[in-house]
Parts: sequence; structure tokens; C-alpha cells
Amino acid sequence: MAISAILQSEGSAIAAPQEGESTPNIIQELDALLPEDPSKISFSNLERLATKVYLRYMTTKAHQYALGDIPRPADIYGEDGTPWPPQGDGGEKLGWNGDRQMANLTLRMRDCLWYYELCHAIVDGDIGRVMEIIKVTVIVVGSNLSLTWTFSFFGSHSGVLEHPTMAKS
Amino acid sequence: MRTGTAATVLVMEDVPKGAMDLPKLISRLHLRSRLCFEDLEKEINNEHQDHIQGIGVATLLSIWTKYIPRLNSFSPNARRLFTVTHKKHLLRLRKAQYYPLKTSDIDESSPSGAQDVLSNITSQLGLKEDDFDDLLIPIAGDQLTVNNLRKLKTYTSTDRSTYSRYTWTLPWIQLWHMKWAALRSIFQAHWFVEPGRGLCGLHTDCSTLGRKHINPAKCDFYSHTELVYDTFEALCLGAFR
Repeated sequence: MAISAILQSEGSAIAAPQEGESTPNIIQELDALLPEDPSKISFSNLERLATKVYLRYMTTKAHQYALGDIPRPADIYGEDGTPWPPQGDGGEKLGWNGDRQMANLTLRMRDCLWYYELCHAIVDGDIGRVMEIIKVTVIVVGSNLSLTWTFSFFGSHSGVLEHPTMAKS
Repeated sequence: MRTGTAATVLVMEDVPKGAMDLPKLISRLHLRSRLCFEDLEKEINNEHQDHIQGIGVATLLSIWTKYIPRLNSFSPNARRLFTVTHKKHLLRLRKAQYYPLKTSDIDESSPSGAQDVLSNITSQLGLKEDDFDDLLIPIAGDQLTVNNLRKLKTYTSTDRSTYSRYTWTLPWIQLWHMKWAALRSIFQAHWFVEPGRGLCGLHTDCSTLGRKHINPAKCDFYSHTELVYDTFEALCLGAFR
């Protein structure tokens, strides 16, 4: 767990949920991972963790890593574990080392982040931030009505935008 | 069903001198025919990627500090990332000056309908054809309005007067309609038809949450935006582990 590693490096004690203790929702579970005294948490550490999460789950590059197209950098992902190739009727090509679910998830988080930012930048009244998001979303939105064309168009280029694919298993 | 049109005139503020210069705009529009994917891709440069990364980090922090009680005290720090660190062009807070026009029973869903609407608006404003020689008016609406205005300008491009060529119109998509189109794109891409097969798709999450009235083909704005917000925030909280 990334947050545990970061807080431990700061010498903080982590109050993890006890065995058998009910953890009804994710908020309480996450809260229990943090020290009760907020002064033991530093914002710069949180920023570092958020940067790692962004690079792992919200970029086109992360999508390519998940597909196994390019080797993953150890500083973001840590050392590679043992590959788990598709078994028998998985529907993926034999010898393929990608992670289809992770690839689809990274694309979804990236697209949702753009939408989330577009809406919040408009609410904040920062038209500059809106324009920065439009630079990437205009390509998707502009060809919204012709999905097949849109993604075949992206597919033939340098992979700036990709389409999630249905997991075959 | 009866159809009609309602228009509102908005007074633009902080417009730089020369921004609404018609000959300059026409010369720029000619360049648009040469616009290609590579040009758009060049805009997504390192500076832009750094900004998006900063925004991604700030968004994660704002969600974490909003929902996790022991991080609540960092909420102002996260907010500052948007309002100071990654601020781009903040608009001045002001009261908009606007004038609602008289509604009409014109159906604006065709180029000729759009032409009738423009004629109706200009007559309500008391403008004459001679007034349009050096005038440029942004006409904002949805995608259909933009499409109809572009068609109208093409069909009338050989007409005699500036007014009847409609070169004075600047079709402009409203931000709300842009948001809606982006939302529809998300549902087209991430809504797998069979929920069981795409474990990380929006369809699966919608079934898990028991959300009703979700129809990706229709894509009602508010309920669908809530679904995207809620599932995205949950994913961000999940990533905190």
C-alpha cells in the first residue's frame, strides 16, 4: 500500500483495522489508515502520493503500460512481479502479458478526470483551465456522433487517445 | 408538439480591441481548412501535460481531503492548487448584463429556420442591413445551431450583401453543450452493454449502486453526471489505498 509506505517513511504509526472488526465503508477504512493527529501528516507527502496515483491510473502512458506495450518504470510501479499470462479460455492471445481490466480502468479514470476538470473549471470561472481541457476533449467531443470513425482515427495515429476494449474473459 | 425559439442578448465584457475584426476572422477561417490532427496534437505539448498532471494531482487531493475526515484540515491547501498554483485565466466576478428577447414560434432545427431566427433577432434589435458591414456577432447555441449556421453561411456565400451572406455570424457552442457532448463520449466509450463482462465499466458500477433512470443512449445530463462523479470519486478514494 503506497500510503502505508509513505507514512511509515515519516515514522508515523498507522492504526490499521483489527482482524474481525467491521469496516462498513471505505471512508472509515481509509481514515483508520491515517494517524489521528493531523500534524503527523504532511501535505507534500500527500502530493507525492497523488502524483504517483495520477501517473499509475490516469494517463495514456499508464494505459500503454497496462497493455504491456512498453516496460513499466520501476519508480512508479515498483519492481515487476511474476507475469500471470491468460489461462486457457481467457480469449487473449497466448503469451500476452497485458492487463485488460487495468487498461480499461486507466482510460476510464483519465476520461472521467478530464470531464470532472471541465465541469469544475467552468464552475470556478477559470476559462484558461477550460481551454486546456478542451485541447484534449475537443477531439473526442468533435467526433462524438461517429464513434467508429473517431477511434479508428485515433488508432491510426500515435495513440494519444485510445478506446477501451471489452475484456474477453 | 409545438416548437419555438427563445433568445437572449448578452453584453460581452473585456473584449480586446480587434478581437471582433471581421476581415481578420475571415482570413483565419480560411486557414481552418488546412487544420489536421498533427496541429491539434502539437497543442498537447509538455507544458500542457504538466498542467494536466498538476490538475490530476489537485483533483485527487481535493477528493481525498473532502471525504477522509483526518485529511479535512488540508482542504484549503488542495483548493489553493486550483486557485493559485494551476490558475490559468480566472474571469472577473461580475453581474452579467443580459436582455431576454421576445419568444417566437420559429422552428430553428433547419438552416432556413436558423435564418428566420436571425432575421427575427435583428429586427427585434432594430438593426438594418447596412449596419452589418463591419459587424461580427457570436451566436451561441448547441451543436445543431452551430451546424445550421455553418450550412446557412455556405448556402448564402454568393449573395450580394454582407448581411445576406451571414458572414457577420460567429457560430459558437455553449460550454454546457460541450460538457454534455463530453459526457456522452464517456458513456459511449465506457458503458459496456453486458455488465458482467466488463468488470470496470460504468454499467457494472451503475448496477452495483442500483442507479435508476440511466440510459446511455439518451444520456440525461444531471443523473449521468452524478453517476460519473460518484464512481470517479470512489475510484480515487480506492486508489488512496
